[in-house]
Amino acid sequence: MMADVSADQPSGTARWAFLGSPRLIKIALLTVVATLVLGPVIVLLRASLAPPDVLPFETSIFTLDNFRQIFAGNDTVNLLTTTIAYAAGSVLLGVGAAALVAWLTERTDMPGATAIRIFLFSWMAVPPLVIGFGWVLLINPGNGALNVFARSAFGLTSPPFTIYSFWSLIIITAFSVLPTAYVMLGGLFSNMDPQLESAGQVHGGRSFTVMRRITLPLLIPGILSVSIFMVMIVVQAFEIPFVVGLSAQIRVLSTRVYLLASPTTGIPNYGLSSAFGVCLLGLACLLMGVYFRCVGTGEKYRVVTGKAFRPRRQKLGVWRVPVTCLVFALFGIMVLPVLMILWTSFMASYQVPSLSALATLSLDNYSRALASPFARQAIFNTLILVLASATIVMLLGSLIAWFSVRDRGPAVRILDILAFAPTAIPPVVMVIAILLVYIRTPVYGTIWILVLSSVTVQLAFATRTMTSALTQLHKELGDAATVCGAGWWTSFRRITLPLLRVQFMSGWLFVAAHTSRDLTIPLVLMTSSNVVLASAIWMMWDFPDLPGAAAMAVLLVIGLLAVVLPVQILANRGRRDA
Amino acid sequence: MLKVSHLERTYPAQPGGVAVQALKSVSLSVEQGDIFSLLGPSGCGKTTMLQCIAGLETPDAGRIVIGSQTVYSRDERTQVSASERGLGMVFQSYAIWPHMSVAENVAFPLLQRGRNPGREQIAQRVNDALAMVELAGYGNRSATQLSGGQQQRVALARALIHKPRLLLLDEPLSNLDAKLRDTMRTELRQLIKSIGITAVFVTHDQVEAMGISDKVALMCAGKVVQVGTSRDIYLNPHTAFAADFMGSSNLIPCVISDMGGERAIATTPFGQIRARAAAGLRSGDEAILVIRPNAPIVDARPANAQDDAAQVTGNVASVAFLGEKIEVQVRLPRGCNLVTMMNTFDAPAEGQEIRLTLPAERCIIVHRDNAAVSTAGDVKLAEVAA
Repeated sequence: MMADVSADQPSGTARWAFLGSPRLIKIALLTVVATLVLGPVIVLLRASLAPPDVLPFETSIFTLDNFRQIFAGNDTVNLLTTTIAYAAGSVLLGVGAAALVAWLTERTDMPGATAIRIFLFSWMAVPPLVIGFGWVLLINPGNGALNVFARSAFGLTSPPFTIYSFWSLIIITAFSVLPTAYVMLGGLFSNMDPQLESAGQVHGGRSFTVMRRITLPLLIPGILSVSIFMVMIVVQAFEIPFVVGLSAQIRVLSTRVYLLASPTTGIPNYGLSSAFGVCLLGLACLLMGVYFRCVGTGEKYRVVTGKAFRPRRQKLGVWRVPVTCLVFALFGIMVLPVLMILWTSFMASYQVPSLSALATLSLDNYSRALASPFARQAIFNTLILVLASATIVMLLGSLIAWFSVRDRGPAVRILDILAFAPTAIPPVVMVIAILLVYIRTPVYGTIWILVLSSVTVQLAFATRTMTSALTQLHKELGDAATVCGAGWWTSFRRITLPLLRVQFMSGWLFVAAHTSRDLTIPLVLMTSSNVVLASAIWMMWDFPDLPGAAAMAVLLVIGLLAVVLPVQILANRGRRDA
Repeated sequence: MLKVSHLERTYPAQPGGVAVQALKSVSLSVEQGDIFSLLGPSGCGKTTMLQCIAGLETPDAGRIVIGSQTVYSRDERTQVSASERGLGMVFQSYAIWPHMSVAENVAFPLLQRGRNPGREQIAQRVNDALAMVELAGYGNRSATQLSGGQQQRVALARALIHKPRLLLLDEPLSNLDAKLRDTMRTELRQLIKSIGITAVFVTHDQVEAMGISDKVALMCAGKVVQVGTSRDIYLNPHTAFAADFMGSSNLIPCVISDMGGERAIATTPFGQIRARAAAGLRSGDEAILVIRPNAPIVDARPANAQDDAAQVTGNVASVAFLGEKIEVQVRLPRGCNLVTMMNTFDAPAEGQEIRLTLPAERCIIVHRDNAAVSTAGDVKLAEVAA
């Protein structure tokens, strides 16, 4: 066997092999990520220091006028307090409810826990835009369905609910916080080592004492860090304050940034918008700092994995039925706005649900929507946007993850930080910055600028997902391919990626869902040629063509759920088998 | 076949830690067709060494030559990447790719770097390789359906299918259970010998190293302490560490008094013992007397002291039953303890007086270790001194 050794030995280097050298890939990655992330941030800072009414490239003047204007009046203080009160209020309600539901599904014998889990995981995919519209239709003071029902049922003269109040905004946002917070808390609750509680009981603690002295203190840091994380999300959130809060004259930082850059009347004030953007960025960074101080930097990449414990389940006893009813009623309320949209999508013109109107149900809106070139274009664009950005960002994230796990060095540290930075940059700020960078280039106005923005915004998530997946992959699996003679690319393509395909696919789905439901990016960068479903729904709603918008919204929701729901059911089956 | 000279590797300090010098100017030479073991306790640098040979780790200085090709040289700024060194390697975790079938795993090296011998050739060679490791017919199985021993055979087939010039094995037996490990060790040696390939084998288990290799390099704290056949290292250790790591031994601090030719006299707490002396020792040196547990000839009755043997008398302190043999702790004068092995059927009673004859041929005086060496040795020294 040793005789023909020479025949099998590598015969010189392939011509393009140098392109596959990790060092070159690392440099290319660093360049791409720096352009994606740093470019917009630098332009944003520059714009905030430029006079109003000019683009940052077209001036050489540096001025603090914008910041002076921001901090001159009481207006900004009001804006900040409103933003913080809004975020704190909705997170308090949302995370509180989520913690309760998580405890009920993971640690008690409440029936229907699996259904609840699947529902909440899938509900994350429903666009906040659609939920916002649904609530407007449900409880606007004029002809909101719930108000009409309440008035006719109880003979009230004034509408009992109104969408146009601070509290409505907070409660609606709390409902949208609930699923995400639940997903983060669920793992925390189910992964808690039951031995810690058993130890308490064995040493004489009664149920209630164990819960108060052991369970709760153990969970407090987790709940706290989830809360801070959610405050960060809500401060950055744009869609619900935009759809619900604007008519109510409730302004928060994110909508303010948007309105200055895309006012309904007058010319955009990019300077002031950027300055507000810088403030919002500062606030987000502050929250991020608090978050990391809270969870510890080492936990940055921590996902809920670890040993699968079979936690002890509390018996609910007589409380079982009432608690179950309460939880399902809560979900009923969450579904209500989407049902309202569904109803509207079957109407020729908007009317309050009633038995008499049942006869007028028709699919006209759908056929009308699907026939119009506008809607077809939107659907086509959405498909391109979702497929391209999810694929690109996951590949980019996988590459960055590989370097950050397998190759540690100063360049990789920078890459790591750059890839993580978009977490702290509110999407609305990022998009306006991207607008400023590309407004004079041919990319602006095409669907590809939306792809570029989505990739930037989702980069941190993709990198984090793939990093945590890769750290669990034994290094020797890749080394084995290298020793066998595989170059870097071959080893990455044939070994690393296929082994991480499950995490890659679930990350891909998450990005795809979030990209298709997002309104912020398409709205800020909207031109006549790059309308996607989310922006189309907004335009039709604004037009106003409520039934048309509703039909499009239903199509979007169905499309999303059709992808997400089966995956969640499968994932749950896997979880039960494990 | 393989020449490593003055190899150095220092891992930079992690935050909150210090830099670790994993290899300190290590030189080695492996002959064509030999099975060469790198043996040492964990953290001695043996795995780093193997990774440097494989090209998975870049040394800081030195030179590695495989066959006639210099694959790494600091001075010539040569570095051949791991994928171009044409080696085969079996990993500690086997690193069988779970998303491929057994045949796909084994065929992988045949398809790399522009080679593609064609479908039939591949099938033929995969079958041959699987037959060689006695896994014929397993090709279509998923890699995850295999037992630990089978995975190891697949890893071996994959490492050998492209006829590499050098086979590297990183603790390949450590994940197997004890019985299987013994069979696999023998099989592995027969297989490697029948192919005639040169192999470098990393292990921390002295029995494994002795059983499988033609030559052993004993490593400690980033240095090669001694190179030789296992028999050579066992019988003629240079240092207390080598004596202790290859087999077990009683390490007794002593002073050399009378050097003459190959023999010297060691002055120990329990008397003067004639013994062989390791190279480089001089009269008056403080050294270590190594007495293997199977070296003393035990006799209950007084015997005539022979010319070239010392005799000591002690009491049986304890007897531990180990099956085929027993381990007897003998208390010697001045609080010294000596462990000796005896036949189970000759077990003495505790407290019984016992005479040990120590032929000079079986005792050896070695160098003391410097502070850095194995703690196990230090503990024994401390015990003896107490």
